[in-house]
Amino acid sequence: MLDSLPNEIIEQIFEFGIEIPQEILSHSRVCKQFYEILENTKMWENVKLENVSRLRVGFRWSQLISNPIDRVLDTMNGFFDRLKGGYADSKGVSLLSEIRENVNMKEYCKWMKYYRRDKYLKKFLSLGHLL
Amino acid sequence: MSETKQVELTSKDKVSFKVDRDVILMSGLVKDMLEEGDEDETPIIPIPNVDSKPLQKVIEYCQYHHKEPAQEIEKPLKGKIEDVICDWDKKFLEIDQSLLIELIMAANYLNIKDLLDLTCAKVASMIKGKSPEQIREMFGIENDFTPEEEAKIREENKWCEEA
Repeated sequence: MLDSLPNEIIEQIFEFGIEIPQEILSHSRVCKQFYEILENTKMWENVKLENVSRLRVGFRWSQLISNPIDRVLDTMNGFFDRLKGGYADSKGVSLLSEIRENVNMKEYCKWMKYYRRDKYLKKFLSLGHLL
Repeated sequence: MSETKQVELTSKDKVSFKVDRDVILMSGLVKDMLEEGDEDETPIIPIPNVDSKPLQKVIEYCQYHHKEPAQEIEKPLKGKIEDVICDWDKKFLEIDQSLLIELIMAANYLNIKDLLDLTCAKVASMIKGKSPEQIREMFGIENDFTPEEEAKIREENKWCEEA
């Protein structure tokens, strides 16, 4: 039923903040819809930080089913580019600071392990002094 | 004493509701339609996208909040929605989920911002703190992975689960 709602309504729901478990985001259609809305509306700040990393993982999970890893990395790269660019100017600094303060580093390191060869991730983590 | 001007709304399932014009002007859509139309005594406005059940709730909402303006709901919502809305709204939202979704769609179509905010905030609040199974059940989300796919994904992502 939730995924029958049009994007404009889900955007309205997002404005009130959401907490979405990773497994729901692994549901490919819902995940993709949520992810696209978050991308388009820049509502990342309305998602609990913990879920931002979960969102990435969830997105990757669903994408892995049908897409090669390159496609996923392209998406990740887009996100990092925004952090480095315009998005980072307005929200990224506080986001990076929140990551330093709040993220479970052990969990994050495991995530890093998977992407450790990715130059964009390295750049992103270095921006936040996480490396 | 002059009589209050009324408007007749006809739902998708052809049920008619007579409503005071001042009340239904809370709907941006109806307001625009009334401004464009002739000054009929009781104009008939078809609402082809909304069934009678949600339309009745919309009217109920407008009748109350026409006199008692709704308070703005904070964004993002910090606690439970019940902590920030009035008792009347709490009672109003005691509806089943399918009606809630219909009400969201109706508020969006009829362009009633306060009602759209209230119903969307309710959904956001419903998602909070729920397990994936509860959310799936609540919103009719089917797990679209086959057991084999899910097992494969879990195996591939074991590193993510290991604390």
